[in-house]
Amino acid sequence: MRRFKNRILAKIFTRFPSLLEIAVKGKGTSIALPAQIPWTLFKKPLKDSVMAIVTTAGVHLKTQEPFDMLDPDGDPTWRELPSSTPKDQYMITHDYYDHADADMDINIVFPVDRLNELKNEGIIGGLSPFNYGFMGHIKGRHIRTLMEKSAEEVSLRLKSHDVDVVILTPG
Amino acid sequence: MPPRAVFVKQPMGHPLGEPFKPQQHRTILLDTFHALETIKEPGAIIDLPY
Repeated sequence: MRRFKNRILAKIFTRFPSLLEIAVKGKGTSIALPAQIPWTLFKKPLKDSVMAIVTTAGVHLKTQEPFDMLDPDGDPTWRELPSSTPKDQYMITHDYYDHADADMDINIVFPVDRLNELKNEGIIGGLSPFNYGFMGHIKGRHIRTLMEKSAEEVSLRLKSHDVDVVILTPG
Repeated sequence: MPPRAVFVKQPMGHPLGEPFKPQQHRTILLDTFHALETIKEPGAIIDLPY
């Protein structure tokens, strides 16, 4: 029942963003902020830069375990998404936004085809062999797991693939 | 807080635009790359005009 309610709310808030603003107004935030903003000046030419996508849109492969939609605090785990994955093997598990359009064209939340095209045109240096998917509804006890475990695990993998730029996309 | 960001006036679930509109996706990506190259202030967010 909760999943049905969340999906209906997601559809309503996607179509009527002003209602979302009203719904969250005055509710405060449970966002945990790092001590400082992570920052490195970007100096490498784009045409030489390797890029990866990290999305919180709930994207995963059909062969991977879906994100947990039953836990009201969300799911802080991640999925590794090979860039060579055929497009019909991606799917989205996320009850907190209406992903009907993204289900039809994954590129609107996970622009893997667009980045491959830009690579072929020589505008970017390349696409990482792996990208990463999260499900962005995280709160309560899972925020700490996300910040202290999941984020570090994915960061180390991105570093091991010599990624220069990470494009973060929301759902 | 990400190091740098662009904001688009699109509904939730559409950060790169509409489905099957590759030119929209491309435009947003290229504007994002421009922000990557030009933002010098940590935490800056650029509002894109669409």
